[in-house]
Formats: sequence, structure tokens, C-alpha cells
Amino acid sequence: MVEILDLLLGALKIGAIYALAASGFVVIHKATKTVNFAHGAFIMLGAYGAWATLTLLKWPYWVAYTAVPIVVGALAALVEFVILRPLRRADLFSVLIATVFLGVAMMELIRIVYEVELLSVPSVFSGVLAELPGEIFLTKETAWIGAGAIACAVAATLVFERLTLGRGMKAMASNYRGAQLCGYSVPVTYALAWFFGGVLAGLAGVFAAPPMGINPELATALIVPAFVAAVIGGFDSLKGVIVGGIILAIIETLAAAYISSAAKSAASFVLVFLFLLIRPEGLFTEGTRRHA
Amino acid sequence: MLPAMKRVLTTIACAVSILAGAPAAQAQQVQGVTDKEILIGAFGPITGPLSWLGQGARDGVQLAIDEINSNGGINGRRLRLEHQPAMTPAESLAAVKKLNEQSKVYLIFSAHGSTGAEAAADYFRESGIPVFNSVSVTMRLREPFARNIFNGTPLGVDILNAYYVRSALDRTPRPKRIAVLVGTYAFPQAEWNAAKPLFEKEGVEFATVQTYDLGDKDYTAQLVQIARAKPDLIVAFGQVQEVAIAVKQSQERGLAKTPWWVGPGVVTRAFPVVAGSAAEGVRSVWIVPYYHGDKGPMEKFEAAWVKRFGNPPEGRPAYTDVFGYGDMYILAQAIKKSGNDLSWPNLIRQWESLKGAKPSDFGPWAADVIFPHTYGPTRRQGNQQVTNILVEGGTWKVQPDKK
Repeated sequence: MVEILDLLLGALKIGAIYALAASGFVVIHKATKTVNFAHGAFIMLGAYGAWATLTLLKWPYWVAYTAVPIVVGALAALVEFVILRPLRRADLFSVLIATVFLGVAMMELIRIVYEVELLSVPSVFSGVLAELPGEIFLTKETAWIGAGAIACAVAATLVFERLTLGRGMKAMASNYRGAQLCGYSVPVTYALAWFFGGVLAGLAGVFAAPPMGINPELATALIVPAFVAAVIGGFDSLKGVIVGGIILAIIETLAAAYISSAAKSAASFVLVFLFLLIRPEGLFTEGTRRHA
Repeated sequence: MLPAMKRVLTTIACAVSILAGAPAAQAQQVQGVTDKEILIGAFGPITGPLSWLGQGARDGVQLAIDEINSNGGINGRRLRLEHQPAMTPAESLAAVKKLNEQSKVYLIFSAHGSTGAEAAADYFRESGIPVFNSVSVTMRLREPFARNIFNGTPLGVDILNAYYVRSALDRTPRPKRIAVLVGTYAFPQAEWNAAKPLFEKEGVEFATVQTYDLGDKDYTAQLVQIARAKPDLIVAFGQVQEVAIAVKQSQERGLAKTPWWVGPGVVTRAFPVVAGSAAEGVRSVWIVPYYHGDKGPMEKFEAAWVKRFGNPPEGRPAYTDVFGYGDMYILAQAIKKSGNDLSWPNLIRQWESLKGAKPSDFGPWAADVIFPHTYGPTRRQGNQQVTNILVEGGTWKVQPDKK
């Protein structure tokens, strides 16, 4: 029992990062119906931004947690404006391919700039917050990341659900022509969706940097779980991806602990196939049910 | 003079003149060699997850070549490096074929890890081109013996693992139960498979063996299992990208008091930074006599590196920069000893004759950042030394008394 609790505590931290990473992914998909495979690269940029802010410039943490996501968001909006907007009238496949290679290009560009194998930033908080029964330590870092990343994902959900800004994106997603007739601007709404998706990716990168280290592989390490979390929770559900991220982290951790490390990745892929076959709309349905 | 005698003398004169001109003609026939230049080939990753490794080796070799050229080259010939980027096994094989068959390089500097070196090993043997391995620990370049394949600073896993076991168990009280954390990819598996029987021979019990995949970012599951096994020591094989994060996370999983020993792939500047306070006291082995930032030859080398390449990015120059630099000077001595006969058989003979060779033997400007190399007719492993290293005060420190 103590062991399970220890495993769940570790899974909570990683699950919170998955959830936040998946939130940005879903915001873009929900508003624009684009599956953004470059999302992992934006998360990676957030992590490098945290390193630049905290280590290179020696600025305080609050700058990293506020300025870096905004910069990444602006970059994502710029990418939408420069690369994806001209492709909007093309088929979805072209857009998808563009995001795949955009992600790869961003990773390789970072690799050229930063040749080092691994960068790091210190945690905002260090030390033990509480010692639980059975020699289990709840560190301040775990508490900060677990609570902070989930809070940001919940805040994103509220923005999207409650504010006018989010309603425009929702309207655009549910009926493109109808939203236009109601006065919503397609270019503005798409740019906003990419901006918010980028902000969430940047935040995920800043949260992920201290526990995971910073290198270009961070992009791949988080885009796959973000995708799986979105499949579990529902590609159109921001609430769903928070639950999906945590479920995925728990299943991965238990599979690695009780089967093998190889089972960790296998478990997530099995989950994807199960959900796609049995419940393709995910756990939380928002909008039209899709059929397998 | 009789006509018959005249014909004999003319024939002898022709034969003598042909023989006298033979060395020059021979030198011209050697691929990659002209009167003014020797073309050196190299391959390794400069993109992808192993780019730090390949970039380091390439830049180290280039720095040594630049120094050699600015001091007059070798026997009047300048050196030129042609580097082929290669990441995957297929790319590595294609790269060495291109270097040998199209670019016609004089020899190949293997600046790739085990992934690329293993892919190219059979081709090296078949082609007979001289090869200098400056990065990989794989046995595929060492066994079976091949006259044309020389290994520089990195030791083979056979020798290295004997040091691993000695270094890992060199603490009081001597560990009896160890937990092993090992990556599932080629490099850590090669280290583990070679070390395992040696640990068994020492009577060590494996409390648990946990695996992880390349690029893993969360080690909760493995560390919980290790904590449950209550080992005296945790031994980790792999690269810094994974092991640093695992060591850092171990503090949260009730392993703050359990010591770590890590494979040399983890000994980089990034490790103490990423693992933070959890890195203190972590031990390993180190294949060169100095660590980055040390005074003396390393300081001289790093100053030359900065002068050539500018302010280094985080983590550079890496240990592969040091390997490439030092090993290029060893190779330069073999070429220099070959004189005007740069045929492959003569180069190999001269290479075999190097005893206790160090970079400064070539020229006083070179920095002795590697252990001396000795080769022989059946000895292809130049370096035979290793030293212990541990994290102290937030940085790696070489332990010279533990050789």
C-alpha cells in the first residue's frame, strides 16, 4: 500500500505536466481542428526559455513563469500567420505534415544553437514538504508542479469555457460558417487559438524543465503523452485531458513498476488503441460523438 | 662496347631508375595523399540525440589538425579533414563507404559511438583502410583482431568493465547487494552485459535490476522498486540525459542515503548541475587524466578550443573534444614516422611502434590531455589507463590516487 502511494505521488507530478501539455494541444484542435504535431517543440521552447531566463539572464522565477509562455504563445501565433494560414485552404493532410516537419525543424534548430547534451534549471522550491508514513517524501517540487500545472490547466479550461474569447473559438470549431455569420473573425480566432495553445505549451515547458532536464528530446518526450492524454480525455475536452494526463501517468508508472520499463510505452499505446476502438470520443464528450 | 653488353647495361640502368623512383611513385598511389596534402576522413552524428558526442569528436580532431597545419604540417604535407555526418547505423555505413570509395580518404577517424562504429565494423575489416576509433567502447572494433583498426583513448568494454567493478566496489564497507539501473539501448546494455559476470565473480548480489528506455524522463517506478530492494549501492549505466534525472528523483523516493556509482557516459558537466545536491558523492571512472576546468594541460587545451571555436556553448568542450584532440596527435605521430612511405602497410607498422606516445611528442604546443598511448603488433588499444572520479562541491573531481 505504501509502495502504491509512493508510485502515485510520482505519477501525479508527471501527470500534471502531461495534462498541461495536452491542454494546449486541445485548445488548438478545439478551435481550428488542426492536430498540432509541433506542439512538443513549443513545449521544448518553453523549457529553453526557462533556462535562458533563469540561468543565462538570472531573472527571477516569476518572469520565467509569465514572460516565457507569452513569448512562446506569440511565436505560435506567428507560425500560424506565416506558415499555416496560407495552407488553410489546402487539405488537412498538408497542414498536419507541415506541423510534423515544423516540430522537427525547431528541434534541430535548437540542437544547432545548444550543442550540449542536457541543460537544467533549479527547482522553484527544494526540500521536503512533508514526510508521509512509510518513508515517503512529498517534496516541495512535486507539490509545486503537481498543483501548479493542474491549476494552469484548470484556468485554461475556465478561460475557454467562460470568457467571450473562448466562446469565439468554440463557435468557430462547432460551425465555421455560422461563427463567421455571427461576426467572429476567422484569422483573429485562429491566431488567438494558436497563441493560447502556445502559452500553455510554454507553461508546460517551464514546469517540465526542472524535473525533466532540457534537451531537444523533451519535445518528443511530451508530445506523445499529450496526444495519448487527449485521446483518453477527448480531443475536444479540456477537462478531459487533465484527467487523461493523470490516468496516463498512473498507468505508465504502474506498468513500469510491475511489468517492465518497455511496458511503460506499450501501455500508453494499448490505451490509445483501446480508446480509439471502444470510445473514440474519449472519456469526456463535448460536442458530436464520433464513431469508430 | 658490344651491342649485347650495351643492351644489358641499358636494361640495368632502366631498372635502377625505376627502383629509385619507386617510393615517390608509391606515395602518389596512396589514396588521399598528394605532395601537399593528406586527406583524413571522419564520420559521426552532428544532429539527433548523440550530436554532442559527434560534434565534440569532430571539433577536437579539427583543432589538432589546425594546430598541426599552423606548425608546418606533417613532413611538409598539410592535413585536411572531411567529416561525414551520420546518425543511424545505415547512415554510418553509407558515410564510411563514401569516405573510402568516393572521397578516397587516407584513413578514417571513427568519431561515432557504438551505434555507428558497430555498423561500420565489418566494412572496415573488409576494406583494409586504416581506422582510428576515438569514441566507441564497442568490442566489434576490437574483436576479432584486425590489423587496420586502432583504438585510441576510449577503452574496450572488456578492460573498462574490470575498472568499473573495481571502482564501484571500492568503498567501505564494501557493497554486497547492489541495485542496477540500466538503459535498454545499445550503449548501456553493452556496459551492463560486460560488467554483470564481473560483479558476479566478486560475489555481489543483485538486489534488483531495473531498466529504462532512451529519453525517459520519469523514474518513479524504477526508483520505488530499488528503494524496496534496500541495496548497499545503486549502479547506473547509460547517458547523462537519463541518469542525471534518475539520481535527482532518487531523493524523493527514499534513496537519499544510498550511494550511486554511474557509468562514464554520465561524467559530463551537466550531471552535477542537473542532479543538484543529489549528485554529491556520486562516483564513476574517467578515461583522461584531467577534468574540464583543471589547471595545466586541460586549461591549455580549453584556451586553444575557445580561441578556435569561440565561447563554448554549455557543456563544451566535452570529453569527446578531448578524445578527438589527443587521438589526432597520436595519429599524427604515426603518419610522421611513416616518412615519405605513406602506404597503409607502412603506416600500420609505424603506428604499432608507438610507445608511451603523448600529444606533446609531436610538438611542444600540443596539450597532453590524454593518457599516453602504446601500440604493438598485436596491441590495438592505445590507452590502457582509467582513473576514479567523484562529484565534490558541485563538480567532478579526478581522484589521481585511485588509478
